[in-house]
Amino acid sequence: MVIDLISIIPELIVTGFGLLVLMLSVFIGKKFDRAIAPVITAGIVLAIGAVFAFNFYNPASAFNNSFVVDNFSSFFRIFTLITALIIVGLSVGYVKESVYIKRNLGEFYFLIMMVTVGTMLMSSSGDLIMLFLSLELVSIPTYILAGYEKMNERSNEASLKYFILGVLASAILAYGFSLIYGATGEINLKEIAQIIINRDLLSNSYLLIVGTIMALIGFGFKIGAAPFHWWAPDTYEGSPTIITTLITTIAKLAAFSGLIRFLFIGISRFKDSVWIILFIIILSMLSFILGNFMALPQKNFKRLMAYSSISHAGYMLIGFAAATMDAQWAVFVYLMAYIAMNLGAFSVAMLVERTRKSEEIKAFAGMGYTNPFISICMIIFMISMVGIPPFAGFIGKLFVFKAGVEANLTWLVIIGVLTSVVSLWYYVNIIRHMYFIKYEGDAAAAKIKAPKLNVFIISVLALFNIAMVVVPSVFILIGKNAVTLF
Amino acid sequence: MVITGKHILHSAFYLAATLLCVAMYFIMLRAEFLAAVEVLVYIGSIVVLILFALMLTRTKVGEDTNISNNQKVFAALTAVILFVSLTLVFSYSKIDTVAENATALKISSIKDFSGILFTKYTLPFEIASILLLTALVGSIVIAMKEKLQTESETVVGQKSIDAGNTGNQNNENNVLANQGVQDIAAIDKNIGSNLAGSSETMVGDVLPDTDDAKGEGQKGEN
Amino acid sequence: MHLQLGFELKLLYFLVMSAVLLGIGIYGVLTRRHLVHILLSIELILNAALINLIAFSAFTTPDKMTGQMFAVFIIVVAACEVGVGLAIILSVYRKKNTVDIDNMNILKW
Repeated sequence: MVIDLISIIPELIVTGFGLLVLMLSVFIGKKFDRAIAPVITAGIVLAIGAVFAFNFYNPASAFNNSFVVDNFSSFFRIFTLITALIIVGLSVGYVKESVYIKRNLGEFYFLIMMVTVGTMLMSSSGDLIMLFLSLELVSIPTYILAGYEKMNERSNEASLKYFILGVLASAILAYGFSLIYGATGEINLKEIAQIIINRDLLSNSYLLIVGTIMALIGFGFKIGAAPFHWWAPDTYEGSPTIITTLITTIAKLAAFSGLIRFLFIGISRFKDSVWIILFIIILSMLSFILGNFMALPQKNFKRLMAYSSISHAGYMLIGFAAATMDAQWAVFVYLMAYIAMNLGAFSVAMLVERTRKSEEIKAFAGMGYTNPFISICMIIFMISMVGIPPFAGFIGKLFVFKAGVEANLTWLVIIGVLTSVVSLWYYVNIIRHMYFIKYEGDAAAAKIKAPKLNVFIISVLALFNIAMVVVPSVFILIGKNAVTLF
Repeated sequence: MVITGKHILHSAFYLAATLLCVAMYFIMLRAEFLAAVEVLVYIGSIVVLILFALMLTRTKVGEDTNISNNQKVFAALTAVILFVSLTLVFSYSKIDTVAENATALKISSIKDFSGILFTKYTLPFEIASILLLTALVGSIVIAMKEKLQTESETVVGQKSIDAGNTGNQNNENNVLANQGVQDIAAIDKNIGSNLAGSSETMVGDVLPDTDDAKGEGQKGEN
Repeated sequence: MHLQLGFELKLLYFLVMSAVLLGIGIYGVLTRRHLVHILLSIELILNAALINLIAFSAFTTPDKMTGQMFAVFIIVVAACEVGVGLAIILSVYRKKNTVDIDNMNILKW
């Protein structure tokens, strides 16, 4: 019983602080608003400390194996918590200017904390029930957060589309899980893997294969892989920018950690089934082809980033299709790079949006001269997104592609490389706007206001992007350690 | 008929009928407690909640001739293919069953059920309670009526920018905000009661339970 | 207590029923225009999953009741989803005065 509680301490802390903020903001009222962000930050830092103190290299399985603490979950929790910390940091300035979020601030941060808890639980869930519930714990708050600007039609619509497709996805996921349960008679991931190996189910039970594919459809919706990506552009564009950042980082982390748990631990021999591998390859190929080509004509930055994140999901799926040991840590490293560059790009875009009141790519015009430091950081993030050598994105893509080639998927990798050349065009377009096009708007907004906190976050993220190339061995080591127990 | 009903209210009632049939299946499968839960939660609250929403949105009550969009053929094809392939999969896959016939199954008692739920599945249970709380808070936030209508939106926007102002309007804003907080309790009853009610009938006391989780959290900190 | 029926209630019977519900649900989601209608169809899919789970639970592992546990949690989640969904539909309706999915087209391409 004690070990049960010790292993969920970080989650308990985050939940506790979320509830604390909710209660205090109801009882104290508006006066508390100023103190919310520091309290939340304290909670997250405490939780990071707790992961280091109790869970690091201290594998355990609690609550009758439904909750697993291993290296993967410890690294992933820290990763999630740091991402959440950065998002809270970015939100401090943002919420002051948003009428609706400001009005219900306590609830806003409560919901963000719940998304974080869901992601943490997802990375350490040991059975199908936990996977399903924590996926819901991530999605339900994000549906609400996407529609937080109640009087804004675009926000309403974003929330609605996300909700309908998200609920459909979880219904299909539930159906898939029920078939897997029927085929194996178990819901614990490790026991499912054992039963599949013992009875050789992947080659003779279509029930299991159909179930797995339906579950993959459900996860495909959540990670935004094409052909199930239709919610992504609309939701990204319509939601408040801080929530777009949340959806593109934490919600995606959750879906990917669930997918890693489900495929690499549950259906651990999925490479034996041609159907499953074929399905993943089709998903992956469609994602990066569609994502990159649809991004070309986009004029709205957030919509562009939606398509770009679809293509990144496609690249990560190559790692799943390869399904080797190397592919597993390659996916983890890619996720780290993806989060770093996405957070960076969005934090710059948020500053631009706050000063110039526009999310169009045109709004970036001329900032290369008025705000040289931020622009240089933005160039780093953009180059990193393309995957050209000197920055993090390159490391991510390199290892995923390498794993793909080693698993005899060279043709898939070649298509991937070609489409990332296409992506060069639209990322460079943003840089072109920053340096070669003059800003035509009122002169007061020419210089982007950059609060110290945001500049600090942006420079940390840029440094991280550079660090991944300078000392890649550190990150490879982290990735390898994270997947050792699989 | 849930799907083809031209009248949205009729569809909702057909859904209730369908769910009742599902509950019958549960009884045939010897899962009496779940059948009760299905009736209470699904019919008792979800369908009623949907009916509430229909009334609140004042949908045209009457026959809607154009209920479907133009992907009927494609959708029908998808559905039929899915159904046929699943049926084939079901009939050709060998599943080890303990009994050939549902009449030979063992009745699962509530005692066993709760025993398993509260020993093996405590963590999912706690998460479910947190999930319910989140959904409650979230739907209140989203559905809470905005006191300030769209026209005064710009005024509020300006106010938010110069927050230092101590004008009459600012005070009013604060009052409204406070009222909003107080309103939560009231709206809680309106919108949340179905949700909360359902959860209470289903998994026992939800709110005390979340308090428990919080208590555990504080214990953990100590 | 024994049920007296003219035919045998095999596992397959329940599974086929759940496949029927799934098919109807998918068809409904893809074709209907009323938001509440879509929500109803999704409920049907969830119920198909419930029937599956309970049938498998009763026929394969009656003592562990794993399927029944899963079913309870799915019902909880369904309740949450419907609550949140109706709140969202309500706020959309307030702003746009319609609940027709085809009118949700501000965000395009």
